[in-house]
Amino acid sequence: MDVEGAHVGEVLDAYFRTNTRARGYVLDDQGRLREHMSIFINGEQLRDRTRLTDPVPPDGMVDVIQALSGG
Amino acid sequence: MRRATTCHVGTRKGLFTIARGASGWSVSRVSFLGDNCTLAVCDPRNGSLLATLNHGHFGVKLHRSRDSGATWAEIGAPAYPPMPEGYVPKMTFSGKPIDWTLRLIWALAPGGSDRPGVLWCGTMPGGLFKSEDDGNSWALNRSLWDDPLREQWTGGGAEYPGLHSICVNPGDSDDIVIGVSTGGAWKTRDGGKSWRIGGKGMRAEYMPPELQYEPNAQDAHLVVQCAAAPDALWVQHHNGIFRSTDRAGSWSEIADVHPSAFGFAVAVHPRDPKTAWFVPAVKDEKRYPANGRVVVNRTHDGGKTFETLTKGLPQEHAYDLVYRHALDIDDSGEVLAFGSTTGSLWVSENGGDSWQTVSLNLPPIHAVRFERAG
Repeated sequence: MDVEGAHVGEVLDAYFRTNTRARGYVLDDQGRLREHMSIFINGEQLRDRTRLTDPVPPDGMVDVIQALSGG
Repeated sequence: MRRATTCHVGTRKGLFTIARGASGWSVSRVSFLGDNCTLAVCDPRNGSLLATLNHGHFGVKLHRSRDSGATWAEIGAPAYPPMPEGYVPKMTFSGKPIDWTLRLIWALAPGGSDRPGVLWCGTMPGGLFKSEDDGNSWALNRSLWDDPLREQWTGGGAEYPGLHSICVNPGDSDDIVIGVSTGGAWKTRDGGKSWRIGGKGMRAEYMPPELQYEPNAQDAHLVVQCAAAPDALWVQHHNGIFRSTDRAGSWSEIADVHPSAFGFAVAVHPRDPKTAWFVPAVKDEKRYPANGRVVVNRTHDGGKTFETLTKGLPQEHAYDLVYRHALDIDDSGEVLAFGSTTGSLWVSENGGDSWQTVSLNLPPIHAVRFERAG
């Protein structure tokens, strides 16, 4: 999906406007990336999990992935 | 009073509804199969069923059914307001800061028959939320959250403090008692505008001497009220069983309880404040039924004496532990159900005199709640 945004927070916000329920599954109620989620920008792991300020270049690819655990 | 014929069982792998048929109780429906359903509550005012899911990675979610679980819709989950800039949270026992975010929904209670749409929700870490629109949106109760004593709450067995009990007085919806692990019992008389901690009497013998009777240091595992006599409260506490007859103004310890005064769950008769049930376990760090025998303790005299009920329950090599929300009693006072971490589920239709096994193979059980009519 193509969305606008200069950093990860903006990119996610643009996506969440199309899927409001997804926000609470990726971010917690303080807007931080959930513990077992990870984000990669062009293959580089997100550094700022709290404020999501990592820059996203034009045509950059943002992957949102989850860890799996439990039993 | 009509006997319950339906019960909802929240488990590690879904919400199981059991129903009373001609031949007894059996599973009639499974919702959210595979998901961690930590609590289910029926709202007798409108028949709504609320279920909380803890997805772990994806957080805590709340779902509502208007048709007894046939269909569900996700509704708003409580959200903590933004943490103030520069706020320094208290550390847990293990040295981690107490997080300012929703970790677990640990209590859900309708807000009273004269308050349609009002719901209360207790959370971990230590939050009380109120909804005025049947759970679609929630607001943190700031008078409790901002109380300096709230900051002193700590985790009991869990890492963070948790608000697990909400007792709304059936005769006065502004009169609410809550229970916290670890933070004792608190009360409001004005619908949550102001709060004060309950009186003395609970005792935590494992605490330093100067804190053993400190009301805010008490690890109440569950607080329940008698519906017909709400001044009568029972607490299953980490350190034993306590009772109040003045709505948390003071507490008295119930002594000489065998095989153990430790446990998590307690149920009180809806009309007889002196009758209550407990599921004892070996304390403290072991936590299994004494001698591998699953028993229910019942008192009819306010805790002076107990009967240990065993008929229909496993009495050999049984290691079922019963969590705080996994014992319930219906409005008739005759039908009880409890479920265990082993996935065993039992129902009694005669006040605990005898029990029938519904299943020994469910996923680990978090919560057992009867469906209630308005």
